[in-house]
Amino acid sequence: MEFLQVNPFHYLTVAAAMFTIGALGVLTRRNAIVVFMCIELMLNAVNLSLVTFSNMHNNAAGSMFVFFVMVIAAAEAVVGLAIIIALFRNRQDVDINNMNIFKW
Amino acid sequence: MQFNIQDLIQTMPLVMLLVTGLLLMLSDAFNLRSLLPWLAGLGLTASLVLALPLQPGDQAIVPVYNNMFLTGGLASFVHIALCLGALFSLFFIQDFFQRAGKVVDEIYAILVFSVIGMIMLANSNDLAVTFIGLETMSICLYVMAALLKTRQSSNEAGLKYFLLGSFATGFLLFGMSMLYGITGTTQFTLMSQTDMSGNILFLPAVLFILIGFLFKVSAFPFHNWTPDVYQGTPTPLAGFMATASKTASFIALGMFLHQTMPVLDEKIFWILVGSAVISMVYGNIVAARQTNLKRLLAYSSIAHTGYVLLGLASGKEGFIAVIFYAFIYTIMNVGAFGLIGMNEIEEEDAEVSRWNGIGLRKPWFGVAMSVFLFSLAGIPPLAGFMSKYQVFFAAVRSELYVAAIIGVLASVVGAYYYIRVIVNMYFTKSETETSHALPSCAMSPTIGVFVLAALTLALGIFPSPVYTWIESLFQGSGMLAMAGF
Repeated sequence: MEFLQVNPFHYLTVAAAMFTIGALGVLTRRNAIVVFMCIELMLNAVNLSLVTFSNMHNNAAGSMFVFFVMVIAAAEAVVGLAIIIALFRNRQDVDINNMNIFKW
Repeated sequence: MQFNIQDLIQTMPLVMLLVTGLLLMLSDAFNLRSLLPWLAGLGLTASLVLALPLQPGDQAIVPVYNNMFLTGGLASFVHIALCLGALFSLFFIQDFFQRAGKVVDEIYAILVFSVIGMIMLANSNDLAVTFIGLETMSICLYVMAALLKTRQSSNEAGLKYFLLGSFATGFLLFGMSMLYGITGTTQFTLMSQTDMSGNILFLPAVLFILIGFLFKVSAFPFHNWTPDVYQGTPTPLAGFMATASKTASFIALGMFLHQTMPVLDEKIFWILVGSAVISMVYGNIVAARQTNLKRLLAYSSIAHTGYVLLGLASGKEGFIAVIFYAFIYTIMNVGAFGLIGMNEIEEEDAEVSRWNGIGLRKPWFGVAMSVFLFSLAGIPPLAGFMSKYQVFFAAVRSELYVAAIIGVLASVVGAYYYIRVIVNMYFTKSETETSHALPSCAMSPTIGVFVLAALTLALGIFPSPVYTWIESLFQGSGMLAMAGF
């Protein structure tokens, strides 16, 4: 039953998988809110890996870091959603494919 | 871990800015609108004066709050440079928003808070502080980009900057967590004591962190947001965004690389050089075919990022040159963006053709713009020449001959599009007669332009006071000496 034991490696794999899913989501999704959710997923993957490393090294620096990441993710959500709402008011649409005022 | 009153005294300049920011928010509530720019300027000046190294002992860097943050010495200089960047931008903001018909009172508080973020970012000695500083800065910048919320261009700029910026932050953060996993600490100076280079996670960790930083400074593979965001952002704020935030990110990147790694890893070194060279070439070539002045300056800022990255790759002398460059670039670019803002009401007003014949209609306006553009092109005796010279000189000293030659050639190409604008200003007749009162002749932006143009000229002729000041800070800083300098 050795292989059923959960060790840090498993947590890190989950974190890396979550991060990849988030990054791929950002690159493929077309709705600004879904893209934003994928970014949040990436930040949470980082939180998971920070907590794992913190546990591995037996010090609290990583766990403290996680609190700051969560607070800043919340602040970012406030600003990001406000920008998306302002955009929606002007164009009734948050599809990032239609965001093409600027071209070179 | 204990709280030390000495630390609080050391960080007084930062506390001063924090108090200013909070007061700005409060005075908004008490309807003291006309005082806001004055209050912001006063707070920034007070913080700058508090950071001035007045005693001889102030030359050394002092780590505070359990080695998490740096004050004194080089850190004070960075503080002063960033406060100056915000002060210069302040000259142009009020007038611009009045003419755009959107008075946004919050902008002064946002400006001051973003300066706090920049200072935290540039002077941090800990991954957590770097991250908090970077995000404090970035979130304020996202708001600035989207500030004119009834304009679609501003919305789009804000959303693009926000989505791409937080995407890059995600990478940066993942890299930081890996670095923490390797070393078991978040402090730069403690990291340098662990030999990381053998670890399998080391290269991905530093690469991810580099992605985050290269995005913030808009270096080559991560530059695409720059022209769109600068074009949509209210012009004086775009100037602030292009200068102060880049200064902070460059210094943070340099401090991070030099403090964590006693010897710069060879692969990372070549990534920096490669990104620098491609940024210089790409930025200058693409800028040559722009018709919108803000986009032109955005591509030129990608090119300037290339020059600065080359400096970052050239060791200690390069880092001195980088700080000098960032300081000069702040002065000339805030001035250039400020002038564009003065000649603009609607968003399409930044077209180069709108500047036809302006040098003859408004002589002082044309002269000031020429000074900034010549300086950006790196033509002596203006400040831009001195800073470029120092960077290339440092690159040659560290035997990056090919990169330095490419850089010089790229900046020759760059001279073409700056001078094209000047040709438009003096030798092309304006086709559409503009009847409305542009460029603006309000008091504060005019003073700002005068001050910045005078500084550009003065620092080109006498660069040595600032340069030797930066140099002396490097001799005095024990922390940097410890970490391989």
